[in-house]
Amino acid sequence: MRTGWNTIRLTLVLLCLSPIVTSLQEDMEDPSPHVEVTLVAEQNGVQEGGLIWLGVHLDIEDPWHLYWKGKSDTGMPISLSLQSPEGTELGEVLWPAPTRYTASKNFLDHVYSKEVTLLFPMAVDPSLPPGTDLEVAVRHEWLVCQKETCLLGSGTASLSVPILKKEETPGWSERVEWFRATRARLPQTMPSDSERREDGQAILRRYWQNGDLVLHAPEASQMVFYPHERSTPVHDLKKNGFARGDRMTLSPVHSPSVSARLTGIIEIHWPDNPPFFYFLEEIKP
Amino acid sequence: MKLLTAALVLLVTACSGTNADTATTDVDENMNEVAYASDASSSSGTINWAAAPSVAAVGQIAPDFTLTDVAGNQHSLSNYIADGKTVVLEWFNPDCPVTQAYHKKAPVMKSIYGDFKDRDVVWLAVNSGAPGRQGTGTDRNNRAVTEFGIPYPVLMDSDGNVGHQYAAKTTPHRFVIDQSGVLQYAGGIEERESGTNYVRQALAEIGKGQSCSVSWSKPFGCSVKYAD
Repeated sequence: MRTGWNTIRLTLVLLCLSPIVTSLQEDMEDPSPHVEVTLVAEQNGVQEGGLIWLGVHLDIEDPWHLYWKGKSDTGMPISLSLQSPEGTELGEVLWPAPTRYTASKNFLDHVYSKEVTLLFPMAVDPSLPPGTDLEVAVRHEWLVCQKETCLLGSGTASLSVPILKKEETPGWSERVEWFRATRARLPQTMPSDSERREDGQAILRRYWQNGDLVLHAPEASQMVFYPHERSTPVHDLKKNGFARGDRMTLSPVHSPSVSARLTGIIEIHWPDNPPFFYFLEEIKP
Repeated sequence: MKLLTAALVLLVTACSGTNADTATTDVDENMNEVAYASDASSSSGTINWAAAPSVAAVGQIAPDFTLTDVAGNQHSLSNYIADGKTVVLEWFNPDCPVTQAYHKKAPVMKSIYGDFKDRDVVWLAVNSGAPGRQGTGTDRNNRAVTEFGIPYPVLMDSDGNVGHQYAAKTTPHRFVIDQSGVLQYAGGIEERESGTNYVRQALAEIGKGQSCSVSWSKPFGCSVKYAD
């Protein structure tokens, strides 16, 4: 079916989603140690004038880990520089919730282990004709670590996405499960206090008490807070950013000049449910 | 006296109001207080080192220390400040690839050091790794001085006390202390996305008597190999 299609060779437009200014990695025999990076599409093509989700999949050898873009004591977040042809537009990269990693008593990091797929949408201008391929590329750089050792890695990955006619329905790619796994850990908009789960319990109550933010998720068995890079720091995040039970108290680091603003992802476990992930953004009154 | 105190507050807080990553907070996770250093200097203008907080904070007197370098020479922060120097501290691990990158592939530190060494700026590398952990030991660090061509001293902090005093987290993690002994910048050497070099910027601004436009940024790199 693809025979005779012409690949579009348009000038690549650099889309600086998280650009790499200076590659730090030295010339190494293995430029991508312990990590295999591929660029994948959720579907087998994109309809003319349509939108497709793409993903940068990082397959991480156990027991190594890569770093989330939010707060961590150490490490270096995965850095991506995406390129796509003229006539396409790339959206924001979506990062799934990480996991906590405490290699020593001194540090708390937020990391990805085993595998992670970072998602981003690509919109295609209707002027681009069906029967052509869109060449998308990503340049990536990261620091992969395990307990004692870190290594820098970098490289490029590319992908060809065919443009389909409007009447053609694209099928799911073989990698669709990677997209579903990421979406299961993407934070959702926080429901208001008045919204309730089907069983009638308030989903998450939030209030300030004595300068601290209290999060109360009735019947929850576990709560975790992953602060965004721009969040006001929290006292002893290693201890207070994880709670067994239905209540978590976050104490922002005191700054007389600026209002505390706690932002990040809250992970909540209710029995017999997969974990829920919500955006948290609370400003101290 | 009130005017003098106000002037001192302005002086020591000049560089401490801006965070590289946000306009909504000006503190680091380990910097519990910021920019309130009215007690940082005595009314006579001499530095009251005892006023330094237990953990370094931007805008306050930096914790004094004395450490020995790999060549056996002692270095004291208070002595350098008394000599009118601005001091850059760089946490160091010769076996961390990020440290290696900034010394070998993109030798930024050497470049900044070269540009400022004749402008009353002292640069000190500090290794807070515990014995037996990665990149530690006088021999390994001595070899690194040669291997990397490091033109400034590498200080050994094997018990990690100075590292903990500064809440040094990564290698590299940089701190810039002005001639008043006040910590004016803490963080990474550069903004990875824009390439803005915060240490160079801070040194240039301090040299001109200007406010630091960025006083904190997120450090990145390997963890400091403290004793567990």
